[in-house]
Amino acid sequence: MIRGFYAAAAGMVAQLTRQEVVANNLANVNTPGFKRDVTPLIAGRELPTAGDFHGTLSVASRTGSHRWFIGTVGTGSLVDQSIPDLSQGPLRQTGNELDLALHGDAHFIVQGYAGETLYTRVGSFSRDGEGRLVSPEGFLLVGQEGPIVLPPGEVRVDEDGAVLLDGQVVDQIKLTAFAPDTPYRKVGFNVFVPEDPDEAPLEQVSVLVKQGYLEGSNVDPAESMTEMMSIMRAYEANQRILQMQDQALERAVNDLGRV
Amino acid sequence: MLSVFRASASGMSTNQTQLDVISNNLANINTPGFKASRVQFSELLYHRITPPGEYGTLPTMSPLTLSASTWVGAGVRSESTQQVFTNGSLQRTDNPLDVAIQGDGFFIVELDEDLVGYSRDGSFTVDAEGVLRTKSGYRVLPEVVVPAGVTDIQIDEAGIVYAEIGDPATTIQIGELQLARFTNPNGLLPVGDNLLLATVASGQAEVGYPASEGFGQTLGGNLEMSNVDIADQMTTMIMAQRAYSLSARSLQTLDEMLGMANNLRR
Repeated sequence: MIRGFYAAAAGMVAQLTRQEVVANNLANVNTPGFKRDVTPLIAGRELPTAGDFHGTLSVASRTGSHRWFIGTVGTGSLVDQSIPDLSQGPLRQTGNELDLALHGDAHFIVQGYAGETLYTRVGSFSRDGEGRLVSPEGFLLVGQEGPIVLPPGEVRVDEDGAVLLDGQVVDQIKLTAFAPDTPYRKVGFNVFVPEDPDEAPLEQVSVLVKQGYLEGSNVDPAESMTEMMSIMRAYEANQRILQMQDQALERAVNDLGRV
Repeated sequence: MLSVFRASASGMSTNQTQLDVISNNLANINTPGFKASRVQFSELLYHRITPPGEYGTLPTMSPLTLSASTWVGAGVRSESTQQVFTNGSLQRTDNPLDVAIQGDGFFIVELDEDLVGYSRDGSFTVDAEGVLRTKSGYRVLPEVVVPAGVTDIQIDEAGIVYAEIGDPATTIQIGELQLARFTNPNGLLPVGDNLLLATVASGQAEVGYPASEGFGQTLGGNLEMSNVDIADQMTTMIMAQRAYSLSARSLQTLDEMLGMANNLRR
């Protein structure tokens, strides 16, 4: 019966973790370029279960006692991992010169505070005091020749990522994609990093850069709300079974043992 | 335990900030030279709650391998509020001292002995000595003095201030307005009264004449009104309201779930 406790408790913990992830998805429903996380579950490991009968029904078993293997019992469920869903978010027109949205499977490359390479989908850039293109968090947008610097002037960005200042091509935005099975994760600040730092992302990408647009999050509120309802009911069901386990055990302890 | 509420709470407070910014934008819809702001949303740091690898090492147990770590985000925050520097609409006022800028650049205003401010608000007046000042009483630089007996004033697109004086009327040049432009106007610090200060983030002011290379034109007898786009603000407001209620709902759900855990054993 104690195993029943663990299975139900594991179920509750797993659903609570899933709810935390859904809460984060919903908190970021208006964050440009945000990719929602999904949390697949896996079953806990199966434990061998022995039947326990005294008397004439005993059969020789592995352990040599009056117990024999009757099957396995699972130990609940766990969240296997959190995976970002990289599907395209909707494009919203803002009309700002330095707002860029990506339509397709690719990322901008930005440089972090210590020069490290980060990947992002967020395209709302502005110039800093020295004319470099920076994201709202202060990361530098990287072009073919390093961080892109734009003196004051009219900026146009082509759909293939070419950057023109007052009509002259000054740089090319570097765009990359991850190979289909590359593990990568979100760190926060709207950026991704590959799990393996030596993993080189692909250079050839088919993507359109749209100037004057921002990509919204790919969180679907209806889907998230439904997921949230199902999580809560699963949590509730686990709570009920845990309570029943508790009641059964209470009977065994208090009623059966009553002298 | 309170960490599970963090994401939802951050969603609510960040969207509240968005609503506050929208309110301010709408309140200033008729303020000359006002530039609408928008909130930049940014994800908060993720933390790992399960390390990858195998669980269960007893020989009778089949090992359980989790595919990868589970990272949970802490929600969202407003990274910054960015002013949007598109041109506002032009309003003809027929007040000869009203000037609008169409294009890049800011008027230069003397705030104090060695403190210079910048503004897009060109609704100027003259004081008792004829010095051109802003509505709040700050001197416009370079100084323009309107002599007594002036019957009309014209400001052309290069910022040159002409005055008609005397009888028969002759036209003389009494001053020339200059504009300042910045690498990053978003980095300018608003200090009220439609005034902005230069900062490290905005870069140094580059001063030049209107209608010259890279600078906008000045238009006398007109005022540049705000660039607040009502449709855009309303859409953003609806999105912020919906996002707020989604986060509130998720907070409620988490609360109910933890309530169930508390009631496991009465």
